[in-house]
Amino acid sequence: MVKKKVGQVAVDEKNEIQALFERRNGLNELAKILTADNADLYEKWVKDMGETQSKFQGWWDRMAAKYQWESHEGGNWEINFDTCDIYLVLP
Amino acid sequence: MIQYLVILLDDTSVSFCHYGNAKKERRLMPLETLKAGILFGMKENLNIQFVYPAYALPEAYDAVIEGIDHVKIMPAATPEGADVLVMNGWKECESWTAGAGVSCVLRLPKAEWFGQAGRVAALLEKTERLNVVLTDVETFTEDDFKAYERSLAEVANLLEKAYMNGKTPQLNLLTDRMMLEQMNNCGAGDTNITLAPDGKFYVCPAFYQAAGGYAIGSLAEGLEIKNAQLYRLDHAPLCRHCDAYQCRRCIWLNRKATLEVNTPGHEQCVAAHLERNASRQLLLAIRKHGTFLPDKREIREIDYLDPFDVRKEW
Repeated sequence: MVKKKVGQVAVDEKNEIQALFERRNGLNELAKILTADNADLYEKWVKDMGETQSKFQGWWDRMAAKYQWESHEGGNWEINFDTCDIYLVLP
Repeated sequence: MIQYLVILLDDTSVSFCHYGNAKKERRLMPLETLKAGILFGMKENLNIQFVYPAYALPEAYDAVIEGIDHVKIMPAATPEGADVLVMNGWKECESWTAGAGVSCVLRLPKAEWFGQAGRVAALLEKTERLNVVLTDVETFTEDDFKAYERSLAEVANLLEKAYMNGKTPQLNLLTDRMMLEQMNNCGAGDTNITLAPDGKFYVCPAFYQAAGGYAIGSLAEGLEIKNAQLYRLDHAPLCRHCDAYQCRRCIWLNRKATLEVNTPGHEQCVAAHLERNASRQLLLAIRKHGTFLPDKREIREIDYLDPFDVRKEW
């Protein structure tokens, strides 16, 4: 695996994705005890997870368009929450 | 890594690939199974693709499906809301008018494909993307290979003219290879799995809807793909060296032809290489008119049609 720094985002931008990341982790924890027969919780979880994933992907799409980071087929970007650095990770 | 979950909503959900659906009686996926499948997909962060039967679903199903991001694969009989529309044979194409952003899958036997370049061009006027799936590729003979080569050249000529007129139609058999720089195959059992109405997971819809398939776990017991590495390209001794990047490398056809999920039969390899070579000619032809896909490498000339024939060189 190859990891290369390709850019950086502003602190408020990093805070936005970190909040979404933590929310997604929380929802994934909740999913461990969730089953489809729990109708109320199922509806809420699916809605919340759908929105969170959509915002998460939207952040990457927006930032990629704004900063024009280097990309590669088969690769993906990662962010370091401590430094706001963006890395291109190649398998 | 699994990225896609295909959910068959009914036993009679439309086939969008090489296999024919042997199941003729309706059996709708229970609503609780559908919800549990969606939950599984979202927990695993999978893109969900719903495959529809040729009848309208109960409203409660629509409400559950519309609650999440998804792709709808639908038969021509019920095209409303489709992202991917499946048509069986030319007859189903006649009355069809595409909505914006709808891809089209045309399934047909070789006899209906040969010599029909004009019809292909006409269909490409109606959709931005056409995926042609030959439903009997495993029966190709030497004469069929020659006919296939001719038909690809005929369609390529029409595509060249379309590109010269500023259009950019996509036809999987000819334009995908021009854009690709690595294998882009079916990925069943590797990048995608299928959930059937019985609540079990399958390698792909064919492993449920056609004869002789097997399950790879269930919603109740979890996913269990035995020898999962055998579905991956890096464990495919022939395909990992191949550059017919557009090849379907259909896992179901592989197993049918060679009893190995990871090894295609001769017919699939030759057909894919005829497509590759026709793509090469198309790319060269378009580039004669000016700059085209400047960041893409030329497709090199090769002297074989079945990688098995040159296995010792690899």
